[in-house]
Amino acid sequence: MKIPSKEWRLYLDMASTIKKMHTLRSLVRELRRSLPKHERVQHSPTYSYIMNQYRQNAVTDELYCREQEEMAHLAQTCATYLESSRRYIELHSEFHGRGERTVKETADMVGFKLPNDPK
Amino acid sequence: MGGLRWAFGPQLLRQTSASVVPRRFLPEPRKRFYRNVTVAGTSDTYEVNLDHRKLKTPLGNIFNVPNYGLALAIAHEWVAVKEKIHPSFMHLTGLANTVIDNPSYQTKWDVINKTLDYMDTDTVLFRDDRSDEFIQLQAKEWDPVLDWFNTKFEVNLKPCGGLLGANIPPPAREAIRRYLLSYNMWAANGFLYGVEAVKSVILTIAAAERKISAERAVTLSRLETNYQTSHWGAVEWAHDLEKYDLESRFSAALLFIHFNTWQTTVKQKAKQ
Repeated sequence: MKIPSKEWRLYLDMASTIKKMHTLRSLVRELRRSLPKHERVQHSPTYSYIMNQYRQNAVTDELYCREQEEMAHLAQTCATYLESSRRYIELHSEFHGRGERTVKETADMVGFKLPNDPK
Repeated sequence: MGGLRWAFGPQLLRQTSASVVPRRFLPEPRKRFYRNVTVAGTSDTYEVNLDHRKLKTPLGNIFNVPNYGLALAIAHEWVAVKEKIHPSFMHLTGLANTVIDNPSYQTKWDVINKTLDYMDTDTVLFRDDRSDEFIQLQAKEWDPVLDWFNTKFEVNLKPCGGLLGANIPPPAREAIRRYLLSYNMWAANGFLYGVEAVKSVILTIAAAERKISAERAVTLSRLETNYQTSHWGAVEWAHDLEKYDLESRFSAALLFIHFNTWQTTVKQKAKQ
């Protein structure tokens, strides 16, 4: 089935647009996860920066726009960074050792009191 | 005579000011002591503020970065701290600290020399000939990147195996050095960090040139590990941890390079 050449661009654009939207969704999701509960994602400057960058690079007449490629790659790298550092910290806190017992814990184990504790 | 005490920040810093963030060199990580993180600054320098305090580097210099996106990303690293501050997990902050402080007095030439030293033992050039299946896998995954690299730099690096290092002819080394020298000191440090993470100059340059993504570069770097774990099974607290560690280091390096070489120009057409 022959597709007229004007619409080829639409097909090519669709694939990369879907990928960019996917990356944008991941970015916002990671952002929301890392902020504390009472804050809204939409108010944070990081969110407005990401949205501005996407809007600026959304429309172009050129067939191959270097800025768009750069931004898409940067967004993907950002999403990878946020996700991988979050998962690393999760795994680390899950498997990392507790460390040594504190002096107080050791004293409690055998029923002793520390020198400066009240009687 | 008093006992031996741990030195802490203000005793080591030469200047004292009200906005010093004291640093204790004790093993216990600091708890989060700030509520808000903000980015302030003008067109060329941006600072990160924790509540009302300015963020400072380990040597006491005020932390400023030349790019707004980078400042936001670093501020986000501090925002994402839940309870304890682990500086070793904040890769972008650490990289910026290294560049600002320059504690070992490195020049750009030194940094690039260190990066080029990894060429002799580049992952992509070292093939393991333990099994035919693995030889084919290496060729299938690594050869495209190597071909692209050879075309871009007009060199002819060939894979090798065995104990001797890869034979990099001096013109090739100089071509790569010229390429790396075109980046500024900030991006050069980012390159070194990325190369140290994936142990390959070729993969780092390919990712910086947007030919492969960060995840793909880390996968290519861990090809043998993945091959073995697909056969013998993966251990979550070792293999996954290493994978996420490499991914976060490498993507942080890539971000650092991009934010320090990125220039945007937006030309708007006149509306009719």
